[in-house]
Amino acid sequence: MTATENLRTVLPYLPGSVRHSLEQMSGENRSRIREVRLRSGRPAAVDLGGREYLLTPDGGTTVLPEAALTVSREDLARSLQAVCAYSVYSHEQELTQGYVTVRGGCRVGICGSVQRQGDRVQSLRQVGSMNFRIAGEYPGVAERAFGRMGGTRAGGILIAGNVGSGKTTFLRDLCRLLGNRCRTALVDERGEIAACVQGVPQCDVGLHTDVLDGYPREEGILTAVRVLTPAYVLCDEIGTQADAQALLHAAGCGVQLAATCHAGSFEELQRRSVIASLLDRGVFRHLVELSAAGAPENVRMLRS
Amino acid sequence: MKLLGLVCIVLAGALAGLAASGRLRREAGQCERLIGLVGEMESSIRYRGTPVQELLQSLAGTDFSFPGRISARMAPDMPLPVLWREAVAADAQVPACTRQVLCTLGETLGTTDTAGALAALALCREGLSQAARESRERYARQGRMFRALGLLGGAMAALLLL
Repeated sequence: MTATENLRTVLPYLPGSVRHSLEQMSGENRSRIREVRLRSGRPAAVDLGGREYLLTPDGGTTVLPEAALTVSREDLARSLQAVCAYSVYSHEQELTQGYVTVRGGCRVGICGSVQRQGDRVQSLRQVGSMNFRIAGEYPGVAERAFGRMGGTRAGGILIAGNVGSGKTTFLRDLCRLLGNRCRTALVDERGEIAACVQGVPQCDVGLHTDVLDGYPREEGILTAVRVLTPAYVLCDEIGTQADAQALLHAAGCGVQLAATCHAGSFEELQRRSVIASLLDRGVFRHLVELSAAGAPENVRMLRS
Repeated sequence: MKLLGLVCIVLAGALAGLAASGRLRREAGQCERLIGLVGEMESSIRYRGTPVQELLQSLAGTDFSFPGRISARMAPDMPLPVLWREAVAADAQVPACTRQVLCTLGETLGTTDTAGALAALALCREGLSQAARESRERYARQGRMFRALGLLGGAMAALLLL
């Protein structure tokens, strides 16, 4: 699905006034929307190509808060209900982690006042902000890098970039390319890569791809290795010790890995102990550095 | 011929009495079935965390049409309490004495965590049990009276026409 199509799938979840405004927005602006942000008692905002603007009632953008469309607490509560398909109890886990994925693979970030039990978040008491990230499927974004890395002989691939640099989009296309050529397992913890609906991926992730939808990352990786005998395992946003252990286990079993992680540069990656240990142990052969969405990527060979 | 007509009048009166009494009995039965339905919802939410739409879809084949009607119309931009209220009002099988209890459930179901949803269902079950108890008492009190009144009314009409 394109970003415009995904925006259309997100519209019903938004408060009526925001939906109406976005429907009136010019087609050009609409196609540039990356995020729609709702904040309780404050103006609704949209991210157009990396910059945040306030939304006016007639579909325009402004920087003046008094001219912008304000989102009420009730609007936000209704949106939360809609995002949870009127079943908040079946999304408790996601809500404590701060996101829910809706149809089309769009991730909705949610935060507010929470109830704590010790050090961990037990439940969301009151929603304060919601961020609708408009996912986009861009077939072909990974093709050039895939070719340069040697196709299915690329070995382990680490995709690094800052927030909003297009790591997930790149990984989705890489999954399509790998999945059309060899047996691939995709661990889609947040359901935003394959956007499965009743087990069927809504995005093209390749013919030979098995999707582990909603699995915790480390458990998904281990399950994939144990039961699916994949040539490649792909997962998004690694960074914990548990991830590293699962990836090392998979690599030890002869499975190639492709994963994304937050980092602005190779140097930044090396400063993160978990990632550095994976790099030291040679889990990844190639590093793809993404600077910004749509910008050309830099492919670096980490070992021959 | 005249005698046959009089017998028919008596029978019609008796049948009217039986129908009125049957309505009371059916109402008590429907209340019991609604309690069963809410019990199924409780189990599904407690053990499987089934989302509302899936839950109502699975209950679509029961005596009541409102679960199927709600699940068929559910959409992100359609508030559940509104759909719920409309569907309950349109379902002729739902006894009038239980409508308010069910509408209250529609206002809260799905808006809270599992503990809240189970509490709302337990409250609803309590309300339905109360309605079922009252229906049974009404049937015990008024059922026999309706049957007797029907028979007597028919007999009276027959006597008047004689």
